[in-house]
Amino acid sequence: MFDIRSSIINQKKYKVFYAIIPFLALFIALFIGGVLIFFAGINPWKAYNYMLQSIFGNIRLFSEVFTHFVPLVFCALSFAVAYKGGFFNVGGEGQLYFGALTATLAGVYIQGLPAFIHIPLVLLTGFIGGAFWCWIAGILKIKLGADEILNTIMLSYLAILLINFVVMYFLKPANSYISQSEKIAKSAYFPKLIPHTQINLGVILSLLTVIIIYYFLYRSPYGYQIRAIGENSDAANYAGMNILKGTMTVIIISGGLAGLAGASMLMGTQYRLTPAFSPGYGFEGIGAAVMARNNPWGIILTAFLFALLRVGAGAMQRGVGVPLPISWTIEGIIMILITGSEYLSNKFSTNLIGGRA
Amino acid sequence: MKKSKVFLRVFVLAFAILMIFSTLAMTAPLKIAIILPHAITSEGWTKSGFDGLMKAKEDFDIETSYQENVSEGELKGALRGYIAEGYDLIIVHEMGYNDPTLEVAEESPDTMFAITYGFKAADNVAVTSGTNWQANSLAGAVAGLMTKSNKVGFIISNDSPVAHNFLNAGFIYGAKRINPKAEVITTFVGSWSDVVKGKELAKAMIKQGVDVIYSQCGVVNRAVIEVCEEAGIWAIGAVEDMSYVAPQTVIANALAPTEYLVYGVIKEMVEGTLKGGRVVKGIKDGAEEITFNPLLKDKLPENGEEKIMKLRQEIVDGDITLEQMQEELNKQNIKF
Amino acid sequence: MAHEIILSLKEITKTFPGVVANDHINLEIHKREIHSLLGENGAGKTTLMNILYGLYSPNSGEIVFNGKNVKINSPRDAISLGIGMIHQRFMLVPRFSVFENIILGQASEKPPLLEKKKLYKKIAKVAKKFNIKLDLDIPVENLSVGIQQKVEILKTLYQGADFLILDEPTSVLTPQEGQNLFKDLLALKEQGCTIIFISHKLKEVMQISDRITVLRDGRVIGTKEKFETNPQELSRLMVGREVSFTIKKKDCNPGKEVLSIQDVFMQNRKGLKILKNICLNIRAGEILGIAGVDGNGQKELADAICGLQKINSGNVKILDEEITESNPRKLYEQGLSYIPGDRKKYGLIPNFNIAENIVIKDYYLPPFTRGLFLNSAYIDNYSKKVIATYDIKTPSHLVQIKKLSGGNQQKVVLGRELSKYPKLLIIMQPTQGLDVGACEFVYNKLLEARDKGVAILLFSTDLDETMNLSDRIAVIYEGEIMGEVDPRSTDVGEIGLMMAGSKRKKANAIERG
Ligand SMILES: Nc1ncnc2c1ncn2[C@@H]1O[C@H](COP(=O)(O)OP(=O)(O)OP(=O)(O)O)[C@@H](O)[C@H]1O
Ligand SMILES: [Mg+2]
Repeated sequence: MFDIRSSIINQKKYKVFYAIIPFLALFIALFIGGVLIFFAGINPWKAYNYMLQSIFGNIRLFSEVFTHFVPLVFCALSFAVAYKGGFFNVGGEGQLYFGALTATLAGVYIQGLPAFIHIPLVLLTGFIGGAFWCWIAGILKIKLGADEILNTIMLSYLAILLINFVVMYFLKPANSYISQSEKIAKSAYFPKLIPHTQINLGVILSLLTVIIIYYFLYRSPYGYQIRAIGENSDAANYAGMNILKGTMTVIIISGGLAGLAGASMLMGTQYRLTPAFSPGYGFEGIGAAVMARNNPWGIILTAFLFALLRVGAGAMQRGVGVPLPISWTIEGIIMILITGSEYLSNKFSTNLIGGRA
Repeated sequence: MKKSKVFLRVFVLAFAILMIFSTLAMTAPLKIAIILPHAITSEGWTKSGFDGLMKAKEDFDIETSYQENVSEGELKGALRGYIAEGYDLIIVHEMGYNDPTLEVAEESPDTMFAITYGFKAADNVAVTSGTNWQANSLAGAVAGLMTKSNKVGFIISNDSPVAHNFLNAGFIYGAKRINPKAEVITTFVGSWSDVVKGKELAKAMIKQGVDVIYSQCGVVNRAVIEVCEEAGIWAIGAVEDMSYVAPQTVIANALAPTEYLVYGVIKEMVEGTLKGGRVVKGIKDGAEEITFNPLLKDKLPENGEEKIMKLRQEIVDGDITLEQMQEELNKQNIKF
Repeated sequence: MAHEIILSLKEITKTFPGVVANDHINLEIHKREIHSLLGENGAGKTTLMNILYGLYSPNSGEIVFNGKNVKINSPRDAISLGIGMIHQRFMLVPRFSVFENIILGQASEKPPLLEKKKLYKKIAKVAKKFNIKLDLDIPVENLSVGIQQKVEILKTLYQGADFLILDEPTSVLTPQEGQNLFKDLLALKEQGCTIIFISHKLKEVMQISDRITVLRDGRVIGTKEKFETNPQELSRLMVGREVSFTIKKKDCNPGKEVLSIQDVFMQNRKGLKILKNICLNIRAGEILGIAGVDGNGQKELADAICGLQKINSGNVKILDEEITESNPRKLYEQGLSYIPGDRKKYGLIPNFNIAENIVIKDYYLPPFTRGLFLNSAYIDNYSKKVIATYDIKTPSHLVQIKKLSGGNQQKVVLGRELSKYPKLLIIMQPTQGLDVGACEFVYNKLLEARDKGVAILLFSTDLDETMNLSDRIAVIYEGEIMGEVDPRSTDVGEIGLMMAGSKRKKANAIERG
């Protein structure tokens, strides 16, 4: 009845199949993008060639990828953790902003600390800020039963407006005409790992966080509980888990991670808070997480891919003038293809591999 | 074979190579790039910066490049990208990016940078700015002139210190100067492109009895003018001549063509006269202006045009400055 | 005999990673027969039916339907051939009316609500033809499970099916509802339908079928005419050994009181009384069976004891400790084990693997957790042991639960809870979905636990089971205990009357208000 050989072969085959899908999607998207670029009157070879050269040809430019990579990793983890716990947190952007706000306060107004204390302190305040903002959404859901998708997204807009206001009326130095906060103290800057590049402490922190989250989710009893609640809260309840506490934990961690994204941007690249602080990492992080099927290891790959695309889009435009909408289209196609292929492979698996209705 | 012939050949060849090189060196065009904060499709501010570059490209022998929709986070990367690619002049078309640009400029003293509408300059950073108030105060004056309900509206994109201290102060001063009873209602859209919200705000103003609206808000301007046309009230065009949108509605235009600034910077660069430092250009320099829609000139009240032109002249002559305007408003206890 | 063959499956093989679920299956179904499939848990019945309904595609083999070689790639293909399947978990939208549910997902020329009258007539015609009586306007959520099943059947018939597959339809029904279903099935057969019926209850199979095919380990063991076989033979074919149908029970030897329930009242949100004045007690080493038609407050009573639902008044004590303010985890730690009736919903996490499901209550306790992390070596070993003891058919303990056969899923829950000896075990429908061999095993396990001093509260809608296992039986009707009887001195008829609410036993006779 149990033919172990066929099992191994089968499972391997499907593993490979799953792993290939994202790359296939990437390839197809680049191809379609190439066609579009061609119709825009630009040689696609030249465009892609230029993109690769300018990304990989120079360590300083390459390091720009990490400016995006770090916050994307945090935002994607934020979404993934919440998703695993059954909470649909689409408000990472707002939590990022709020985390950046609290981190700015700790970075600007606390001075004279040594870096090894100041950096963790600012990170912590960023975490707390993000967590707080997500906690509001959680409370609204738990107490009033308000849908978290609406909650988190509305709170996102609110956070952005709020930060806009706070920066202009409270954080802006009195003599400045530009709406931006003071710079944070040098002691809260992420030290650079390679001088004159964007490769700083944030890269290590983000990767470390991936590892921690992975072990937390899949190897710790708390993570087990969170996943159980996310998968089937009825069964979790009957098994004696405290659903409320578990969900709250998830909310705090998820929001905190988004807050860390804000703090890491502040400490690694921008050093000051401005009204248009984030170019939408909170939303892009959702895409990266979904594409990685909410797997922390996968998030490293997808966040890196998204960061590459961002830098690459800029490079293609600078080099050969590829209009930005085309680059957006490429990114969009990748996301659609991958979510689509998810659906297809699910269907495929119920049909051929098996899976019960 | 004769030695002399060989010599001659080598000589000719060497000469030819030299010639080619020298012409190459002579014609190697300047590389000039612009970094734009939003997508070009969002028109208004961003588009006009881009247009300035394109106009310069036609007129001068330069190699150009642009990167649009560059967020604050991406700015330094884009700047460094251009530096690595050997660009001679990089124009940053967003005053909010002043500080980060200065930081990168410090890393790369051999490259020239320019910031439009910025505040802080450096040895290799040229800041050119419009006045932010001259054309606006004239727009305010026109609004004060035209209103019958004594209520005029001003729609601004983002709430910012510049918006309050320059745009709004100028506008209110202008309106009060011509019509002391005029009341100014100012609102912020919060974006350069939220057309729906802009329209809503305009409609709300009209409900409050406003009968002249001046919108200084990118793409939204056109939509606001359309709302005014429907409601049958006056509109004032901003930045460029918008009369064509609604020829019977746009009474005047407060021009502040930013492409002029971009173009001007490039021109100086090509001519080799561009230096670090901050320059502010106003009506006197042809960087700003107020114009009337020729179709509607007969709708102006008697002596209307003269009143506006008088204020314009005072501004040009330096008889009235922004500081004086602010002071005057403060004296009258008017918030701006 | 000159039977027309409507369907023949030829050499159907289907493998899953590590499992050959169907191994060269050959099967012929006659037109207008009721054909039962029998087999152990994991024998491959559901898989075979899913292939026929287009949910899975076989690795090899042919399907000949009505004399034509057909490929069935999706349920749509199956329906267009006239093959319909009633799933175990109904696919109805609770808020929609019966009518809306039936037309849901059907192609129609105009928006269906515009042709409501026409469609109404059409449905009524189908219902009349097959002699099915249903009110089309009631929202499905207000219907009992048995009626919902009827809706499913009518829906399939309305889609034009005349070949019906029913996979364990009776496992969710009360015995009475089961009998009603059989009446309907016979009527369908009269009207020319062919039916494949799956069940683990030999009694039912012997009652309803014309022919019976037995599967074992993915292979066909044989097909029998009903008249030439008997339950003993069938179970021997299925399991490969003799199965005893009588339960050998030692004398009951009760110890001290473990659970005492006093005057428990419970109201639901709408203010309806769900439990009224419940008084019960159980001692260590005895089985108290609660007999009753499903939906008379059994689930609420069990939930209340386990701290999952709040009671409005009264008190519940476990080992002399008041539990009304306690929570499920504390109670579990104090020795209360609860196996809810709907295991898929409340007992299992479909996407988790077997091992993860086995430790769902203990995961945080040492030795399952060591320090900050789960002790996966221990968890693996532990779950492998449970798998072996409960004969759970799976290639590995890391297979997702949803990939197990229905019966094997049940076994995981039972294995998890019965592997320890709690002080009080509350178990609902202990043998639902289990094959005869597994039933026997579970019965023995329960009795063994009882003899070790576990107090067991047993809820079952299967009266035979309750009669055989229990030391005492309390009958519940509309949230009220109608009385308590001794199974040795009471007959099924009397209990049946109490279950219907028409007779009550003296001691607990209280005026109803
Ligand atoms: N989607 C799937 N993936 C992997 N294995 C599966 C899948 N579906 C079924 N199986 C395996 O195939 C075998 C047959 O399962 P099937 O559901 O057909 O059994 P069954 O006869 O219906 O059993 P039961 O009486 O318990 O319902 C089982 O070992 C099961 O684990
Ligand atoms: Mg089955």
